[in-house]
Amino acid sequence: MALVIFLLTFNVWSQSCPATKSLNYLPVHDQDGMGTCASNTAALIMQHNLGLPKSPSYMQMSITHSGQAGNNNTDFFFTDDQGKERVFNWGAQICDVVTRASKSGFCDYDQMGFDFVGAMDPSNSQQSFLVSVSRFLDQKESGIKALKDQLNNPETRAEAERRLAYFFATPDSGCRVPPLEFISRRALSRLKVSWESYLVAPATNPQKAAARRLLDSAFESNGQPKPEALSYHQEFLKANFDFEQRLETVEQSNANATALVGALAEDLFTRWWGEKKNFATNSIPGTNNNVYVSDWRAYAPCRRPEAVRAMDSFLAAPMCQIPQGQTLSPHVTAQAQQLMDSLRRIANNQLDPQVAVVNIISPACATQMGQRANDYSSDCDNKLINSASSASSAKQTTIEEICQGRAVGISICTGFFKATTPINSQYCDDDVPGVADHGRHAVTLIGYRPGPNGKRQFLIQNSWGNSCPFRQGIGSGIPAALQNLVECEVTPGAIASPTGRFWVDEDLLFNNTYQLSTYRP
Amino acid sequence: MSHGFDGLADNDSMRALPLILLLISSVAWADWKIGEQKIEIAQCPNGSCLISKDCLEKSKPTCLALKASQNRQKSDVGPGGTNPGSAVCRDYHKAGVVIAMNDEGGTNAFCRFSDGSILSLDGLWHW
Repeated sequence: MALVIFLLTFNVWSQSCPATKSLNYLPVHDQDGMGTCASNTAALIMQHNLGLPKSPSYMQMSITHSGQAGNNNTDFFFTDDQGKERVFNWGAQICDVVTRASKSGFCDYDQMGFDFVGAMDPSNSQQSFLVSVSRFLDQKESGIKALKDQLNNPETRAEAERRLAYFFATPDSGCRVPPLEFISRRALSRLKVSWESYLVAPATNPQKAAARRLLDSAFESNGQPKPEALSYHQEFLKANFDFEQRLETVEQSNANATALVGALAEDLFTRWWGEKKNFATNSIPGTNNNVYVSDWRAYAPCRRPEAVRAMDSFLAAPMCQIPQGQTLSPHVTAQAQQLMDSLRRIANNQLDPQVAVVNIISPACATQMGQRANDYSSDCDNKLINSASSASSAKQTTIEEICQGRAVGISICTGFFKATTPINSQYCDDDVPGVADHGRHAVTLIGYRPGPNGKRQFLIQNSWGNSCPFRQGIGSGIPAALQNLVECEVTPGAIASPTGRFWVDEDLLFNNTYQLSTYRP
Repeated sequence: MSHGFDGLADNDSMRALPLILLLISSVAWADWKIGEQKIEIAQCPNGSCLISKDCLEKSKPTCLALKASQNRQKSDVGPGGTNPGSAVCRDYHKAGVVIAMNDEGGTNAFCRFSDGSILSLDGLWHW
């Protein structure tokens, strides 16, 4: 009898679909505490339904969607079949995310920075950063302050810059120090500009005369350095331990340090060259103080203490070496650089939320987004389920979509995950209109099959990594009353481990579903 | 229940079962990485979570991840469908979450304790 009922039911709903259908398995992700279930689902159904070779970045989708939240009417009201006014908010707006991704474009999972922030700092995670970003978009002023504090925090910034410098200085990067002559030519060309600046007002006449002598003695009429100046500059570089190497690696890695170190080097060589050519200089050419001490550390502190201290610190820091007992991979330091760059971009664009959204995302991701913007249809169909009859149509729609090779997103109330008996909480047990229910969640349907008792089961892919919510009871087993209604997909082996996908009885599932999202490209 | 196989009817699945099992067994224990660093993990004794492999050695009875898995905390879904284990890791254990990726491109969040041991979030909580 059950078989007859099943066959009749199936034939009514779908004449040409197989009894069992599962879509290709795509990677299961773990959103941790980010609250990106709608984006996880949107990314998954877009990958399925568009046939994308790579997973879209659900984090980028979440950020982009959050940035537009103020423009979307994400809160909406409806009257249920009992005449009570209900409201949906706080997440699970799958189609909103899909629509935004279609219009703004989206990038691949591997183009979005900060995927492994946790690897950089074990006490952090994607969640802390992404939540901070999302909250920033909602609370711009306080968010800007928080991010600026992080950006301006000497420890954070210094650490990020240190790691960046080490990245360029590690053996893996080859410590690409160009030939000394190249370094000297480049430095002398900068010195030429510096000395020429003293030829114009408001320099004094003695200063201008001294600058003229420096230029005439070191440079040809065509502006090229004289051979003697070039070779002496190289001697100057060699005279300081590893100076030329440190100078070059810092210049490669840190534009700010370039200016600092470059200025110090120019200052120092000015005095070296002046002494060699028998006219005295100090930090300001043309002054009457003819005393010059070759050890600039003893002399210069009276002139430019901050720069000298910085130079001392720079020379004291080991470069072209990996810190003892620590291995910094380029991947990690690259992430640090991305972090600092993005925070800097955010802080500089706080007045324009749209620009801030784009600048949170890494340049590579933003480029992909731009390439894909408006490439795909924004046709995402929200089917609101507010009565038992709609639940039936939702089942039919789901089967037809999966039959056609398309995944379906659903917004559910997760009470049935934890209940020990079947429950019906289509409205998330929300007795107070306008108050969000913390049980709202979005998941993806990727298959169906015949189940016990002539009913169908649907395959869910969740966003909590390799876990199954039905095994999260105190006893870690599936409650007895649900044994024939749910099944956790597990890996084969002596000890079965959940895969992050699970089967749910059709009635149990749709009695706890309030929205169905279909996306047909 | 082993992995369902893509788009095949039941009779096709049966014929392909040996090949399926062979393929699945070869990827059942995918390598996990945090960033570029490979990590050694194993199933928890009850199969409900993943844990640092060396936590299961008898010489490490005080492994924090193992202790946490034996003392799961009550939790629930947060706004946006958050993984209930996330709050337990941060708020109860004062630990940090790291995301590991397997060679299939999937990810799993782990709670990293002060002794360096890690435990998948599902090992931290119950309804």
